[in-house]
Amino acid sequence: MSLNEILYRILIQGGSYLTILKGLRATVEISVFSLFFGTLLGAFVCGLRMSRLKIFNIPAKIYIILLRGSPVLMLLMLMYYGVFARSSLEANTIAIVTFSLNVAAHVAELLRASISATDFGQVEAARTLGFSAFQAFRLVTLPQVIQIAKPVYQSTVVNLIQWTSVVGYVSITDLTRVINNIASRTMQPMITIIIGMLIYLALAYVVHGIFALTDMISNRGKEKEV
Amino acid sequence: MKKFLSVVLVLLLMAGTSYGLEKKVIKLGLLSKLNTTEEQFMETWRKTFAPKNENLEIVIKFYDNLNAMQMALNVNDINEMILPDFTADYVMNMDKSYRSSLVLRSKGMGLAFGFSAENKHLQMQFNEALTALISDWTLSALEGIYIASPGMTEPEPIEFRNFEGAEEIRIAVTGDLPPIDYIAADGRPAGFSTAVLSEIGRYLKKNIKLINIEAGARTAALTSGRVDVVFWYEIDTTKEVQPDVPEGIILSQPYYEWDRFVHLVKVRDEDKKTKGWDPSSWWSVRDVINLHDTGAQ
Repeated sequence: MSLNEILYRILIQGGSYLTILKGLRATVEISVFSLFFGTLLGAFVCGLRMSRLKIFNIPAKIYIILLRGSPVLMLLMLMYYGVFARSSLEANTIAIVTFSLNVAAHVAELLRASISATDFGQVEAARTLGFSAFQAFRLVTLPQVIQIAKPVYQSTVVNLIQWTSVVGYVSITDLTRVINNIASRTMQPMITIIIGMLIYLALAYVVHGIFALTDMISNRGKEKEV
Repeated sequence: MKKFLSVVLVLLLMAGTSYGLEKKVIKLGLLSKLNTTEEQFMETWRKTFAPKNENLEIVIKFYDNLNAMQMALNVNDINEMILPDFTADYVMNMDKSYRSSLVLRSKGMGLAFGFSAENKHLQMQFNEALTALISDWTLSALEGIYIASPGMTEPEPIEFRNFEGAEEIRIAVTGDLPPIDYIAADGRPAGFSTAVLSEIGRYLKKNIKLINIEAGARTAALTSGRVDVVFWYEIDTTKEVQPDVPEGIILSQPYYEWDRFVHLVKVRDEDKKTKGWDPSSWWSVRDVINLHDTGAQ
């Protein structure tokens, strides 16, 4: 069988490309929603973690240790086949909840590290100049935190996309599952998996492109201000 | 001169000793079992199939799915993969670079549906339906369509009949055991098992919902109540107790039986030139048929 014939069987025959697109959609959907909710929850957990009150920061510490230290597949299976086994929640929803919890732990630590890296003296100076606490945070600390956190956050996004490849264990047909199914049907695992990897790589580059675009926009904004 | 001869003698002795001690390792790939470890399986395997040569060591490696095992064979991580004859035929029909090197006969192998132990009622219903489908030759007809020439044709996925207001049975499929269980190009589950399920649904007048999951999550899906039925539990029909079936799982009567396991090898051009294939010399097995001798593919 020639390479063209193999590629035809993998990608085209019987509407295979539509199945791949459906799988890709599932992967992107889970990643985007998990990132959104995970970031919000992560910011909240970070707030608790940085609190001076032990009643807040100890539970936040435990949450971060537990979630960052446990494999995401185990967590997903525990949620789907254990915690939510008797609920009517869809598998996709449970996957989003699980990945959001996991991402939140990583984002919380990432934000804490970024905030710690900023110079507190600048906030004090802003307060002396009459800025409120919120203004000082929004106008002085936050822009620096975003700049510091951005590269690691980008890695977290790419990691998240890769972590979602285990959702086949909870009955979701994502990109990895579709690729495995095609490989089993066509008996061409090597080529099919290379195609799957290229699609994941393309997703990673889309993420990279989005971050590069935001950099470009913010740089233009700064240039205009100057 | 004496010293030189002594050194040569010692070197020759060392080479000879190490050559004699060196064991040849044959690695065989199998699809993961549900409740049996590689070590337990190897123990049973050694008792049944003793290697002819004392210097031969057999290592069994489990793989969660067929793709992983195929890739392991491609990169020489294993020497052979062992599959039920129907899947082996499918692989050979789809990819001509695979060849059977050996066929092992093992009486009474079967595939059965698995249920949670609490779901005895459904198990009884499935058994009743299977008995009816066997007696009216429906199962034989489906075997002819799906298993007689696996991989040569791909039958269209089954359209399940909808019974208005009827109970729904959720069934886990994996897509990892063609032509019994695979996912068609359009993403719908297909294969012999789905055809059998369609007939069971029709007989019981119940709706069937297929859920695609990883093979490794079958038992968790069943015991957690996420699905009602799992198909393709491999069983030994000659045994009362099934060692590979986890606790809390009960089985239907077999819906398909077979008696041959095929060793598949990847034939590479360089292998054809230099090695030749005679894996039957590796084993002293109770009942071996070499497919090439019988003329079968």
